[in-house]
Amino acid sequence: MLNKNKPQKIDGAGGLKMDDLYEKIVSQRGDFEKWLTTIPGFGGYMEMAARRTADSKMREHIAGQLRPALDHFASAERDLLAAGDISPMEKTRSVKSKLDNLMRRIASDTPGYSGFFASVKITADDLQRVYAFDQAMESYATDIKAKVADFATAVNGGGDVPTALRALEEAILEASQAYDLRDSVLQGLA
Amino acid sequence: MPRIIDFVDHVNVMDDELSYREPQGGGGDFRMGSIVSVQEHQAAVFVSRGKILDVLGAGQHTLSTANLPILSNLVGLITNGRNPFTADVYFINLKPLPNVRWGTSTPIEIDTRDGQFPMLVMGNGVAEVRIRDAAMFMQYAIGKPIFRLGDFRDQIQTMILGQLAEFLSRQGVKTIMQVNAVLSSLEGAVLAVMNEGFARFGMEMTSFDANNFQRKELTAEEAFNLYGDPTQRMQMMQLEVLKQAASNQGTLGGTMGAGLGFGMGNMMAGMMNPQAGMMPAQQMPPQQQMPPAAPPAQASAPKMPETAAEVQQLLDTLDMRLMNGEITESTYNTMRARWEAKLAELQGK
Repeated sequence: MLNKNKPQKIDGAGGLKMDDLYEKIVSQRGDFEKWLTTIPGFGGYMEMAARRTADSKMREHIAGQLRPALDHFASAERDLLAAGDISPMEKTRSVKSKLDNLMRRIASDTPGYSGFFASVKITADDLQRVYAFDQAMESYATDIKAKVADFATAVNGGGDVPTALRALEEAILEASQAYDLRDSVLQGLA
Repeated sequence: MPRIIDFVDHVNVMDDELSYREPQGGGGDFRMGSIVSVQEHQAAVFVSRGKILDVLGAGQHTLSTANLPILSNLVGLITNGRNPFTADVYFINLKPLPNVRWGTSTPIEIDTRDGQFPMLVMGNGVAEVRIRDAAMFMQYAIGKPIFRLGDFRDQIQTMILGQLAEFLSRQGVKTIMQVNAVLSSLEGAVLAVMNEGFARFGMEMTSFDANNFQRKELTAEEAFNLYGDPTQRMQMMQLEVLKQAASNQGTLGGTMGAGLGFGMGNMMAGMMNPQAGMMPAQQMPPQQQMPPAAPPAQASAPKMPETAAEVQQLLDTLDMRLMNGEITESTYNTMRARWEAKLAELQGK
């Protein structure tokens, strides 16, 4: 039932195919009711007139989770640079840029026409699907924060910096794909 | 009777604008119930009596004690919300400014450490900056009717060029090709450190790009004006190398000449070839004004102390050299131990 609006796009910049990612996200959905209460100012999507505001609040919340991760990454990057070698900076800059782009996109996205924002009524299944993606985006934000912490530990503890960077980059790419999927899901609701 | 501002916004934002004060002349009269319309990517900062007070984000705000808590307290509006109050509203532009051009007005000097004149490089590029913390940025904008990027450009330029010069010097690059080979890493490094400096302005740099660096060629006259007489410069460098070699004497087992290497050989050759030193500057290639690569001459090593008296004499000079800063304390200790042992050996102790 949850798969009725499953996006058919099968590609991706790396990692999981979009189909697999979709399955992963909807199958890992958790307890929405409890989770929703943890987001300040979020009133849910039930009120049709307030859906855009609710969507904006949700995105603001997720982007707010990514901001400290970006700051932490920048700080670890400076620690790495303090060692005197600038050669890793090409890669760190690329990863930082991807993280910054993801954060900016989530924070300032202005969704165009979508049945989700215009339809009179959405079913409980539709709603669950949207919440599943919202919840997944927050999980990605948490995962990215953890990967940034791993990177900082690798920098300061003499660990494997390239591996930590690669893991972080993969997490960011997957989060970006998941955000694309969320967009597709919203567009697909009628 | 003051004219009350019932509605204020700022929609015609210039491309390079950072902040804009309403009213431009300062000291606007507002009242609770006045509307402040703040655009997306804008913040409105209320300033009263020279103090930065409340900050409003994007949206249409009807002023009340709820959204201006600090200002309300300051002007005692809680008891009488209808009284007008005087304040300035600064609209802060939070949009990224993507076209911040930078460039070297004077070349960056890179010491190539090969005895030649420093390599002079010129570069330019573009950066993106944005205001991250409106309240923190206000400490620079306060009192200015309008604050534009141009008011801040010198500061940005100085910060960028300072960092570039530092990184380039640290990389040990000797040619312009080597500089450009590390361009991407260099951009990343500058971006990484710039934000530390930018944070104190409430700003951040979100991207930094550089075009390929160019080598600045000097005319002979420019080289002379900048670095003086090539002969004198060479002699000073030779003196410096000789001093270093002398301080290495102990640790290198006294084989001074062996520690000098090919570069020293070249310079010694130059020193022994007065023609090179006397060559008019105009005849020299601007960036390669050292003597032409001559076969490395064998530097003559100083005579090693062989008798007890000579060793004693060397030991006597050590204290003076330490005091003059010619040698470090650890070198002093090493040399003293070595030559005292040699002295004991010569004296048959």
